[in-house]
Amino acid sequence: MTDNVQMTPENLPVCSGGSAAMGSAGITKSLGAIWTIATYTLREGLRKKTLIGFLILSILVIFGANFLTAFLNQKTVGDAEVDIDVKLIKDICVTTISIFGVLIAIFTSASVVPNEVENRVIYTVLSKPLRRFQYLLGKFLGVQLIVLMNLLLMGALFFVVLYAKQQILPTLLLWSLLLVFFEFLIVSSFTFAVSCASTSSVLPTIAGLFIYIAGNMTEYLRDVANRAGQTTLTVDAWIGRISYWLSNIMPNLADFSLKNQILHLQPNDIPRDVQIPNLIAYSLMFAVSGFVLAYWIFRRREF
Amino acid sequence: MRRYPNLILGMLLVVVWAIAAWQGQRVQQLRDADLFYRWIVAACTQSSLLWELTEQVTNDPTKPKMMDRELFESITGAADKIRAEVPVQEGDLDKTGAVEPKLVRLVKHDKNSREVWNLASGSELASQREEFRQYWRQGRLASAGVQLDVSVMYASESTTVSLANMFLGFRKMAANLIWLEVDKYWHAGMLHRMVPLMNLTVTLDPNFVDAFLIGAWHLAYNATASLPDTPELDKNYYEQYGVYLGRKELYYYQGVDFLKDGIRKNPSDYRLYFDLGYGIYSEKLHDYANAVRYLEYAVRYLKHDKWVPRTLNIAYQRNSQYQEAIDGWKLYLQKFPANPNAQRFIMYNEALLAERDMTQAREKMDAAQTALQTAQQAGTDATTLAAAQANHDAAKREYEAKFDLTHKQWQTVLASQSGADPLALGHLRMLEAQTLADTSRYYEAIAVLSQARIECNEIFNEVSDRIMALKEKAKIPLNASEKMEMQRRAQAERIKSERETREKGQQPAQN
Repeated sequence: MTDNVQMTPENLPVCSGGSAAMGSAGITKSLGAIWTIATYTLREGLRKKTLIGFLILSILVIFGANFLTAFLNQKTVGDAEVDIDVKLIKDICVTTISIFGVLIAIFTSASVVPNEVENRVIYTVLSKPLRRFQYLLGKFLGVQLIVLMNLLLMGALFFVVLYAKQQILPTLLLWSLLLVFFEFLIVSSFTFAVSCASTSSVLPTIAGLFIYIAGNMTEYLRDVANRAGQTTLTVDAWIGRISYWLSNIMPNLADFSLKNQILHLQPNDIPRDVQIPNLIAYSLMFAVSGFVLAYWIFRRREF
Repeated sequence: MRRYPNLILGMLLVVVWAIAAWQGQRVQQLRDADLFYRWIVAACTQSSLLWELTEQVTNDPTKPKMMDRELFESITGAADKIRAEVPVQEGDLDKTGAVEPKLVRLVKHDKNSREVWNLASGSELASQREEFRQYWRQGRLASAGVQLDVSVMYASESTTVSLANMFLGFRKMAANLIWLEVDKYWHAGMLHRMVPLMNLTVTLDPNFVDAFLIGAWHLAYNATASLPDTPELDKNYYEQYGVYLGRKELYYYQGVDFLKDGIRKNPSDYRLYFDLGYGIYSEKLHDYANAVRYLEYAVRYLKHDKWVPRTLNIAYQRNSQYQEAIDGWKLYLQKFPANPNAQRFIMYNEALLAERDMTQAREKMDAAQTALQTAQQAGTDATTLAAAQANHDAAKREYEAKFDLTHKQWQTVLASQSGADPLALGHLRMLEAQTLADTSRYYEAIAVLSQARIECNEIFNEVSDRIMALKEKAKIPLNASEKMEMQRRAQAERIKSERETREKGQQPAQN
C-alpha cells in the first residue's frame, strides 16, 4: 500500500487506506476517492438507455398533462372559480415523477454493482488500494446523484408547465420534490443492499419493486394490528402481534404522502417545519441501515 | 472492527435500524397528532356553524355509541383551562346565546393555526389525543371521516382489506381519473352515473374541493333543471331533514349535504361556504337565514374573494336585515371605492328600511282604527273614545310621515340612476297602488300593480300576492292562474294541518 495517488485506466484516482496515521489529508483523499467514484457512477448512469427511456416517457407525460386537461373547460360554477385543470396537472405530474422516479431509483440501484461484476470492472477497481467501504459508499452516492439529477430535471419541467398555467412560481413544488427524493432514498438503499449480493440486476430489480410495494403496504399492517383480537382465536392474536411488530420495524412509505398534500396547501394545515425534518431524519436512518446491510453483504463477497 | 467485523456490523445494523424504527414511531405520533388537529379544526368549525357533531348518525341501537360530543366537550373544557382569554368578537355565540369555548374561537382565525397545532400535539391534551385515537380506531367518531384517513371507509366489521392502501399512495390520481369520467358522463347527460362517481371521487380525495363545488352544482342545478316543482300531496317525509320533499327538492338537500361534507373535510376553503350559502340556500331554497349564516362565516373568518361580501350584503337584504346590509355595503365601499353598484344598494336598503318602518306604522294605524271602531260600536264613554281617536290620529300621522319618507327615498334612488331603476319604479308603483286602494279605487290599484310586476321581476311574487289580496278585499273575481294558486295554497295548508294533527296524535301523551 502506498500513499501515492494512482490513476486507473478510467482516470480513477484512488488513495491508500490503512496507514496508521490518517490525518486530515488522508481523510480528504479518502473523501476525494469516494467523490470520484460517485461522479464516475453518475456519468455512467446518465448514459444508460433504460434511464434515458424513463426520462423521456416522464417528460412526455408531464407535458401531456396539459393536453389531458384541455377539454375540462369548467372554469366557473356560479360565481366561484374552479381550477380543476391545475389540480389535475399537479397530481399527474407528481404521480409521474413518483412512478418514473422510483423506477429510475430501483433500476439504478439494482444495476450499478452487478453490472460492474458482470463487466469485471470491479476486479480492477478493487485491486487498487481502495477500501471496499470507499468503493461502496462512492457507488451509493453516485446512485443518489443519478436519482437527484433525474428528479431535478423532471421537477424543472413540472415547474415550467405549472408556471405556464398559473403564472406564479410553484415554490411548494420544491418541498414536494425533496420528500420524493427522501422517499426514494429508502427504496434505493435496500435495493442497493440486495444488489450487493447478486450477480445480475434482475433479482435486485424485482426486490426493489417488492420493497416499494411493501413499503406502501405497511399502513395495511397497522390496520390489521388494530383490528386483531376481534375473535377469540389464538392465530388472530398472533397475526395481530406479528403485524404490529412488522409495522413498527418496516419503513412506511405512506408517511411521505405529504408530498401530495403539500401542493394543495390549505390555510389550516399543520406547520411543515415540524413534519418535514422528522421525515428526512426517518429516511436517513433507514438509508444508513440499508447501506450498512449493503456493506455487510459486500464485504463478505470474494472478488 | 478487524477482530469481530460481522458482530460489529450486525450490532451497528441493529442499532441504526432501531433508531430508524424509533424515528418511525415519532413520525407516526406526528401523523396521529395531525389527524387529531384536523379533527379539532373540523369539529370546532362544525360547532361554530351550529351543526350537531353526530348528525350523520341515526338512532340504531345495534351501532356503538358515537363519542363526538363527549370528546369535543372534553377537549374544549381542557383547552379553556389551559389557554389565556381569547377576545370575544361578533358572531362568537353558540345557539343558546352563550359565548363559544376558547378553542372554537381560536380555530376560526388562520393566524392561530400554530397555537392550535401546539395544543393538539402537546402534552396538555395527551389524554384526549389518546381517547381520540381509540374512538377513531373503533369507528365511534361520526364527525370524522375520510378526510382523516381513507381507510376509515373500510372500517366496518365486514371489511378486512384496506383497499385504500392498494392504491400505493396514488389515490389522488385515481380520484382525478374518476373525475374525468364524471365529466364525460355530464357531457353525455348521464346524471345517474355521475352521482355515485362524484361520491367516490371525494371519498378517495377528500381535499378535492372543486369536485365538491361542481358536484353540488350538478345536484342542485342540473339534475333539477327539467323537473317541475312537486305538488304537496306527492311529497314524502324525510326524517333526516325534518321536512316533506319531492324528487326535485330532495336534490337541493342532497346538494346541501354534499357541500356540508366538503366543509367538514375542508373547513378553511371559503368557496364551499359561498356555494352553500349563495348557490343553494339563497338561490334554490330561498332560505336566507342560512344563506346569511354561511356567507357571514366565510367573510368573517376565511380568506375570500371580493364577491363574497357582496353576496352576503344581498343575502342580508333578502333576509330583511337592512341595517346590516347598509353597514356591509358601506364597509365594502371603503375597500373598493370604485365599485359602481355599492352606493345604489345602500340607497335600496335605506328605502327598504323606511318601507318596513312604514309597514309597521301601517299595522299600528290599522290596529288603532280597529280599536276605535270597536270602542264606537261598544258605546264606551267619551273619554275612552277620545283616547282611542287620539291614538288613531297619532298613528295615522306617523304612518303618513313614514309613507312620505319612503316615497322620497325611492324617488331619490330613481333620480340617482341614469336610466330607469326597475326596483325603485316597482316600489313606487306599490306605494301608488296603496294610496289608490286606501281611497277604494281598487281597479286602478290593481292596474298599477300589474304594471309594477311586469317592470320589475324581483318583486313579482310580492306584487302578485298584493293583487290577490286586493281582489279578495274588493270582491273582484280572480283569474284562472290566481285561482289555481289559491287552490295550491289551500291544499298545502290543509295537508300541513293534517300532518300536524297526525303527528300530535302519534306523540305519546305527556303527564
